[in-house]
Amino acid sequence: MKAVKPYKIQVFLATAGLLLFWFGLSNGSVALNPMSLNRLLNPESGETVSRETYRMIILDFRLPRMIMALIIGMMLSSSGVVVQAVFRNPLADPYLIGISASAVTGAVIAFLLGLPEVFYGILAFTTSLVVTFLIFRLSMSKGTVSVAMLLIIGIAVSSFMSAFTSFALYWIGEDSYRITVWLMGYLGGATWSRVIILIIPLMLALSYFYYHRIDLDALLRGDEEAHSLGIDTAALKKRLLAVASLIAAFSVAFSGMIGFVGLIIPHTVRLIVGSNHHRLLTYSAVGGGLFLLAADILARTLLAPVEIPIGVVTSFFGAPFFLYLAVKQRGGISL
Amino acid sequence: MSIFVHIKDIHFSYGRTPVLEGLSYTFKAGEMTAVLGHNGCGKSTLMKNIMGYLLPSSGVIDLASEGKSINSIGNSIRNRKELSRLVSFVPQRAGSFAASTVFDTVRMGRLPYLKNRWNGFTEEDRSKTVEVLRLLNLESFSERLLGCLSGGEQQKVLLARCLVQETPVIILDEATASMDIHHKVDIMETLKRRKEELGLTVIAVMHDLNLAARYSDTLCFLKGGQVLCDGTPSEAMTDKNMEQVYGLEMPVRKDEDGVPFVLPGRQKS
Repeated sequence: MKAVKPYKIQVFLATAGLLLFWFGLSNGSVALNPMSLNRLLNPESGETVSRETYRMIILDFRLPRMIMALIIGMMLSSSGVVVQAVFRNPLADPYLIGISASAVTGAVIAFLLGLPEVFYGILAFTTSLVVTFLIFRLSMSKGTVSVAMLLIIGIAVSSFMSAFTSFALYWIGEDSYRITVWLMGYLGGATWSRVIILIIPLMLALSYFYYHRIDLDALLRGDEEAHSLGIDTAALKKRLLAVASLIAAFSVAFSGMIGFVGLIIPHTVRLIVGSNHHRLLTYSAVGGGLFLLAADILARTLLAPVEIPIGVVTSFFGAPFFLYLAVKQRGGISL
Repeated sequence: MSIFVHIKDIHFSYGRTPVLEGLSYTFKAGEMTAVLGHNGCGKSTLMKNIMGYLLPSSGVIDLASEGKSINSIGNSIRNRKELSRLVSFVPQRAGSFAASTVFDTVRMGRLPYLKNRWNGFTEEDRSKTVEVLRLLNLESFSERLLGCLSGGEQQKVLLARCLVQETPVIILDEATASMDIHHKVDIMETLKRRKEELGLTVIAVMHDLNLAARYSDTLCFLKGGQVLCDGTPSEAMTDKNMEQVYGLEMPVRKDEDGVPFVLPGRQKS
């Protein structure tokens, strides 16, 4: 494997980011002339009415939505990096331990109780936290969390929750589209206040992960070796998983289930920069954010004015790309 | 600082299967002791107890220098953080093939000394790593990925990590088991040299009796979760002990330096 020079990756990410922002702000169900951005920045030019409209479309709709895409992408991919290190499995994903399935169940319950739309997110968040806590409890023995048990219980709970959701969808019938949104991911509800609510847990979690970047490297070497290097492996794994689950729960509560980001971004970045968590965490976070931003732009421009659910876009483009990487490596999938 | 490892009447069981049954032994400071015995006799479990990775259900492991206890492992580890500055570990093979470079892997040995996790490793950590890599002739591998090296080279990298960790006690759990004779001798010579220079206490689980006899100061044979016999290689490697430990008729011979050796023997009829 050749090491790619860090500055090349930085240049690539910066260019991609700028292009995406420029393209994303000027395109959508209403295509704005790129020059209109100038008009927004120079209040002197342009007509007053259209300026107000531009202002609204860009500042109240597109910009918060794009920043939200960045934040959710960063949450999902950094959470993926950490969960994969803890499970020492490149195929682990924050959704694996029942977080997404239980969030959807929360949304379903909100629907069944006839609560207003605001409560969908709140209930999704609380349910996934409660279920995650329960899964942790169940997989504890003698004060330590068994990672294998966590996985088994997580999968079982996920299946149970999915069964519940499927039944509810079947039962609700025509009205079920409001829940389907949760299953396929949706960023349309982005507002500045939501952005602010999400940015806080993101920053806290990223700092926490970054603080433990060297410990994460050590965890990859296995429990015995990590222990001999002075790490309390059981306690550290528990805390890392708790934080990873928390931000995954936040992302699902605000935007539904968006598949493949937590899997494909860390994996791709690992192929390029290796598994040193200093680089892996940084580039995965940025890469994940930009990936979801690109996916969301595609979701709202491809068939504009109709919007494709973002989870469909990430899986539709993510899965073949993931397949390509896996086949190219031929059995070399490793951490 | 040379350290004695006193094992005092420790018991350990996996579920209901007892593995260590009242084992007591003292690993002498500044010596290399080979721990031998057939599979399942508790060698690896004993090592994991000394590392504090598994805790004994009863009994105590005491790490002492000049008669003073420095750290101990019983129901809990007295000073967990400090333990990783006292005892380091080379496993049978690398725990993962994570895409990390030799340099990063070896520098990981400085983790117990990390003062500030925000800042990460210091310049001192880097220079100590470079020094050990040079010492073990691994400099040219520095930027290679661990997974791309041969099994023997990987083990050498893990030994390098232990040396960077600068612990007075080093545990090897069949660290040379999967290596060819060239790499085995290379590892053992390096270890012996460092032991003599720094007064390290080396505890090595081994299967290769002849390698153990050639490089160790003491041999310690386990059977049924207890110490069966111990002594210098010439004292401990006797026809009778071979028969008791392995159930084989293996006449012990000596080479011109007086080091005992055996050839695979016949099963007792």
